[in-house]
This record gives sequence, C-alpha cells and structure tokens, in this order.
Amino acid sequence: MLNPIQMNRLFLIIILFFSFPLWAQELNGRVMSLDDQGNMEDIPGATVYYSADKLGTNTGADGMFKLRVRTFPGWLIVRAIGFAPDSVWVEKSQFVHLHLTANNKELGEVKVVASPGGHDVQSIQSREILTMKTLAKAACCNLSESFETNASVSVNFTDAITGAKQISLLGLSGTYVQTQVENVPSIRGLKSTYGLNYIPGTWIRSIDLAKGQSSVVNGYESMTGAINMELVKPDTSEVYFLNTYGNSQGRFEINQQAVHKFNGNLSTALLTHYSQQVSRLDGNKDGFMDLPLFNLVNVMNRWKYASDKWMVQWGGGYLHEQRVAGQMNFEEKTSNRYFVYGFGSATSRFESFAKIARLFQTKPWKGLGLILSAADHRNDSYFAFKQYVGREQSVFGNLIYQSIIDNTNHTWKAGSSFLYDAYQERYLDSTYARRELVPGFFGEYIWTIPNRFTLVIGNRVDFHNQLGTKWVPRVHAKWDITPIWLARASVGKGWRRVNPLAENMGFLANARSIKLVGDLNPLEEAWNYGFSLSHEFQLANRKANLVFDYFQTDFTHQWIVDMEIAHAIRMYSNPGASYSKSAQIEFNYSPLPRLEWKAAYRFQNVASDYLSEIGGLRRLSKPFLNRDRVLVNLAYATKYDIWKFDLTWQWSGPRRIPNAYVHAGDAPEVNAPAFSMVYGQVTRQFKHWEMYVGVENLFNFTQVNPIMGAADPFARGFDATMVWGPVAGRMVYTGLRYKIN
Amino acid sequence: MKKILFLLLLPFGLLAGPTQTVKIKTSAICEMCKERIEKNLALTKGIEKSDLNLEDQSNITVVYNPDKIDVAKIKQVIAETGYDADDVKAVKKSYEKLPNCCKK
Repeated sequence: MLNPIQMNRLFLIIILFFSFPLWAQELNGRVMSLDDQGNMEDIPGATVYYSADKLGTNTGADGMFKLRVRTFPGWLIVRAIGFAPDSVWVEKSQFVHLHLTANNKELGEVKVVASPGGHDVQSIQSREILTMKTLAKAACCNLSESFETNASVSVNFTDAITGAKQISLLGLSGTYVQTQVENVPSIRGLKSTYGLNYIPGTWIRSIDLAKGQSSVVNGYESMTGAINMELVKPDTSEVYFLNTYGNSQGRFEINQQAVHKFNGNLSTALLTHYSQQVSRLDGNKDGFMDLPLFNLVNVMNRWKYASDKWMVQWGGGYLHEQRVAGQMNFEEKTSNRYFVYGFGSATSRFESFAKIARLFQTKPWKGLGLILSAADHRNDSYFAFKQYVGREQSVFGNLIYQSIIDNTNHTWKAGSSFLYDAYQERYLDSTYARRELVPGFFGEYIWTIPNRFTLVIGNRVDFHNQLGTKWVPRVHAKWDITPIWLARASVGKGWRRVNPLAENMGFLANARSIKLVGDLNPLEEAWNYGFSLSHEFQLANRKANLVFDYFQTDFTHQWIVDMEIAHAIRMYSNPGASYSKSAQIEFNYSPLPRLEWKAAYRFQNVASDYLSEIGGLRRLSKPFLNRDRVLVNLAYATKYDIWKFDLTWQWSGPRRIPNAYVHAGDAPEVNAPAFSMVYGQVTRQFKHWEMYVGVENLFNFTQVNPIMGAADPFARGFDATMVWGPVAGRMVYTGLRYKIN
Repeated sequence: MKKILFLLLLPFGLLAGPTQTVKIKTSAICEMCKERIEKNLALTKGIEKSDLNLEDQSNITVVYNPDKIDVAKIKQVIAETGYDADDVKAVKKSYEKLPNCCKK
C-alpha cells in the first residue's frame, strides 16, 4: 500500500502527466496564397511564429502547420517569401486559416527573386513590390505611369517635345537603375530613350523595386537600384483578357492577352498592345504640341514548358512606334523642316529570350539555369534638320548554378555571363560605332540564421573590351531584431558604359550645341550604401507599418551632361565629386477594413561639381530635381471590391533649373516653384468585367513656358529641355477590362 | 431637417423595393468558399445581401429583390461558382477550377 504522501505524489504525477496536453494545446492551421483573381495555392515552407510562447515552425508541403501552444492569447505571425506577412490574434486552440497576398509595397520585405528555373532565392534587399492591385490604381497605361502611387520613384519628361520619360530613384536617373523583365535585361542601350513607354501596363503582373544594389547574379549595371518586372505567364488562369482605354487628350489603347494550354506541360501566351495619340493638343498656346502624336504596336508571344526535370520558357516580341511632334502646323511629309519645327522618331525592335532551368526534384536547393536573350533595335529621329540614326544588336547570356554547403543555411550561387553589344549611331555628320564584349564571372554566398539574420556576400569580375577588368563587390545584410522590427543594410559597387546620345536624346530638342570637353571616359562607376528600418505595429487595434531608409551613392566616375551654360550642352568626365543622398520615411495604415492610407516624405540631396566657364569647379545641386517630395495615397474598396476608390496627392518641392540667360559662372540660382498633382480613380467591378474612370492632374497645373523661345524655334534662344513640371493639363480617362477565366 | 433628408432618401428606398429572404444549403466547406460565393452573389443583380454560415450546414441566407431575380436563378449563380445549391448540382467546369481546399 502507498502511504498518503506517496499517494499525493502519485496523484501529482498523474495530474502533471495528464494535464500536459491541457497546458500545451494544439494550434493547427493552413497557409495559402490569395491573388487578385481569388486563386489560392498552398504555401509550403512558410514561417509560422507564435508570439506568446516564442515558438516557431514551418508549413509542410500542403501548407499545413502544427504548434504546441501553452499560453493564450497571442499573435500568430506568418511570413513567406514573396508574400506580405500576416498576423492573427489567437485566443484559443483552433484551426487557423491564413491567406497571404503577394508582397504589396512591403518596403524591405524579403521577396522571391525568380531565378531561372523557378528556384526561389531569398533576397535581403530593401524592396517594394507593386502588385496588380497597386498597378490598377493608376490605370494608364505603361511602365512610365506605374509609379504614380509610389513614393520612391518619380517620373519626369526629359523635354517638352519628344514625350520621352525618365524615372528617378534615389535622386538619380533611370539609367542608373537596372531595369529587367523577368531577369532578362530590358531597358538599356538604345531602348533607354523611350523604353518606359514600351512596356504596356496590362502586361505587367508585378514590379519588384529594389533600392540600393541588387544581387551580383543579375549583372554589374545596377548602381542605385533595380527594377524587375514579371509579365503575364502562359499558365495563368485567365484565358482571355481585353482592355480598352481612352482619355480626354486624345489617346486610346487596346490591350489583349490570350493564353492556351496544350497539355499539362506546354502552354503559350499571346500579348498585344496598340496605342495612339490622335489629336494635336496645345493647351498652353505656344504653337507646339503638348504631347507627341504617336502610334505604337507591340506584340509578344511566349511559351512555357514545365516538367519534373526541366522548366523552359522562351518567346519573342516585336514593337514598332512612330512619333511626330513639334509645331502645331508641322506635317511630317510636306513641311519644310528649316521653317517649321518638327520632331519625328521611328523605332522598331525585335526581342527574343529563352530561360532554361534544370530542376532536381529530390534536391530542391539545387538548380542550374541559363538565360539567353537577343535584341535588334533601330531608331531614326530628327529634331528639325538635325538627324539621328541609331542601331543596336545585342546578345546576352547568363548561366547560374546554385547549391548548398551542408544545409540550406549556407547556400551559394556561381556562374558566368556574356554580353555582346554592337552600336552604330550617326548624329549630324558624325558617326559613332562601337562593339562591346563583356564576359564575366560571379559568385555569391548566402548565410542564413532562420528568422534572425541573413548575410549575402557577392563578387563579380567582368572583362570589358574597352573599359578593362572591373571588380564588383556587394554585401547585403538583414537582421530580424524582433518579428516586428527589421533592419537591413547594403554596400556595393556598380558600373556601366554610357550611351551619350540615346540616354540624352531629349536634350537635342533645343538650339544648344553639343560640346565635348577634355578627355572623355565613357565609364560610370559608383559606390552605393544604405540602410532601412521597418516596424510593424498596431494602432487602435489596426495594422500599421513604418519604414525609414537612407541611401547614398558616391560616383567615382561619371559622365556629366552640363546645361549650366546657355547655348551649349557640355559633356565631360566628372572632374570632381558627384553624390546623391536620399532619405525616405513611409507610413502605411489601415484605419478601417478595406481603407488604406499611405503617407511618405522623401528628401534628396544630389550634387555634382560642374566646370565653370572660367575654369575651376562649382558644386551645384542637380538641376530639375526637387529636394522634397510628399505623397499621400488613400484607397478604399467596398466589400468584395465592387467599388474601388483611389486618391493620390503628390507635392514636389522647388527645384533648381539651369540659368539659361546669364552666362556668368557665379549667376544666382534659379528655382522652379513647388507644385501639387492630384490623381483620382473609381473602379466598378462587374461579374466578368470592370470599368474605371479617373483623372490625372486634377487641379490642372502646368508649367507656364515649357518651351523657351517657342515663338522662333530656329533662333538661338529656343530650348524645350527646361522642363520641370507637367506640360499637358488635366486629363480625364476611362477604360474597361474584360476577362474570361 | 430630418424630414427633408428622409424625403430625399425616400425615392432610393422605394427603388430598392421590397426584399425577400431565402435560405439555401450549399456544398461550401471553408472560409474561402464562403468568400467566393458571397462575392459572386454580390456581383449579381438583385442580390441585396448574403451570408453563408459554415457552422450551420453551410446554409446561405440571401436577401434579394424578387422583381429582379428569383430563387432558381440564385441557385444557378451558386452552381456556376462551383458549388451545389440545394438540389442544383455544381457546374462541373467551375468546380474543377476551384482551389484544392474548396473541393469535396
């Protein structure tokens, strides 16, 4: 027999034993993805973290997870690569169903870089992802207009005639941003002149915007950031999609996409775009068209083959565009170009690509991918009697191998790339031809402490036939201080070869002469470093997040395009310092269900040393660039997204413009005034289609005299490059989207 | 003031007309299914409101305007979404497009 004490002990042990399941209860759930079309898929490998017990696990292949939880209530936080993190308040043992949406404007959030072969690789950069939902907020029309609700990127016209646009990120122009489509080089070389207009908005599924340097795997050209777009895939669920668009300024568009699945492995997609500016518009009555007339045809056909061992994607595209602008009475065929100012441009481009990936089913961490692309680009332009002809043929290849050391906490990538780029350009009576051959090698090591810390060290060496051997080191680090506080830092180098004419085409729209000064070095090279801090929290029980980042770019070599002296554009290699400092703070908050509020402030300090006419250097802030910018976006949707409302207010602070009248080197600074732009849009969803109505530049703000000397375009004072604000006024647009699933 | 507001809003109230309520048993099995059905109904003319209760045998309560839609049509909408509605079987093609978690 047991004595009472023993009895008590046994009783206690029994209680302890049996009550254990009571203390540690099961918390089960399932994590799935949810896209704009309502499609869902299980997310394997998502990280699940339970705050009250500081417990974590990962979801299985079916997206399911199981946790043994001791304390209630607590936050259940779910993170998955490529998705916005989500959290839910759990009060009792239950089955939790979580739906993650693709990473939406989650600055600095870890995101899938679809490396060839679909092997997703964690990147640790400061990133923003613009999903279809975000892109639909600015319904018009192509990549150049996709950043209206984005605080980091601004888009400006390069001049008041050609309609060419240039983005700027961290205070530097788009040529320093590596722009790729599905990791294939896209907007570079001669395409950079009008390239932003050549990617139709409806083709884009998402835009991945990375600040600071990108991975060495993608090349050496990213200096301030990288943009990678994902387009419509052949295996999407939408069988057919049609979009039509028209606006009050006389522009219309038709976009179509059709996909077909031949069997489980093979599928194809056909994407078409046609757009036209039909009417001549002269709101400011300066005798010049505010917007160029154009028509653009853009067609792309792509294929995908996927099996257990191989994933192959290939395709090709063609685009043709014609632009005519200049004086209202200019006719391309009949006008005398010595008396009536006209601008014309004809572009045609062939592109093709192939991405081949070898998959290893039993070793998902291993991958071998090859990216190949080729392009042929032709442009013929004239600015009055000044003729430009440009031809470019390029071939690019990138071979990437990826594997691990012992376990997936130590992964590495290595590979080799090759670029062949042949240019032939003619401007006035000069011919410029060059052939670039750039073989290169790269390696990257990624060290991960799950949910805590990630470090990426990358190096690449490229051998440029004109610029010599170039070494590019890059380091990225990410630290999860707590699940709601994240810190990131990066430092690295980037370089590129300048295309003086194609990148500055808009600067030909004036009577200035081009002067090349001193020994010119076509190399541009910069170090970029920065950090970001993001914090997620609850405000009145609703989700909020705050992101701060700071980036600095220091050029060691730069090609300066100097407009500081009237009547000339001087180009020279950077004689002194050139830098860009950029800080941004962004606050996102959802005060009510389906109501989202975003407010951001950006500060930029960008300056270079310019050669003064009397010799010596003069440090000036970069012209046409505003130091301060504020963006506020308010988005509301009714239940089931039947009605969607969107309102954006952008305020751009004053900016310096080159003093075009005074020749003296110590002339006082001239500043353009600050201005506001307001965008609004309403979308109504029906069962199979959607209709939207919107307005751009609601308060009809325009720059008073975008073209200097417009009265006499053949005199010395003519200059259409002094553009700092909108040229065309208020614009109302409407369109519809129709889809068959 | 209140009277004026009432008079102003009255025509809208009249436009909406009298509503009826129907309860239909569906084959929905998860939150996602609920979301899908309710959204499709919300996009259908004549439906005022719908609420699917997963804990009550997946019965959906639909408030509708009998001038614009009838019960048979409501059931048809649910079937076209990929779910059974009382005696009306789910449209096969739609059912096959449902994500795995929503299939029986």
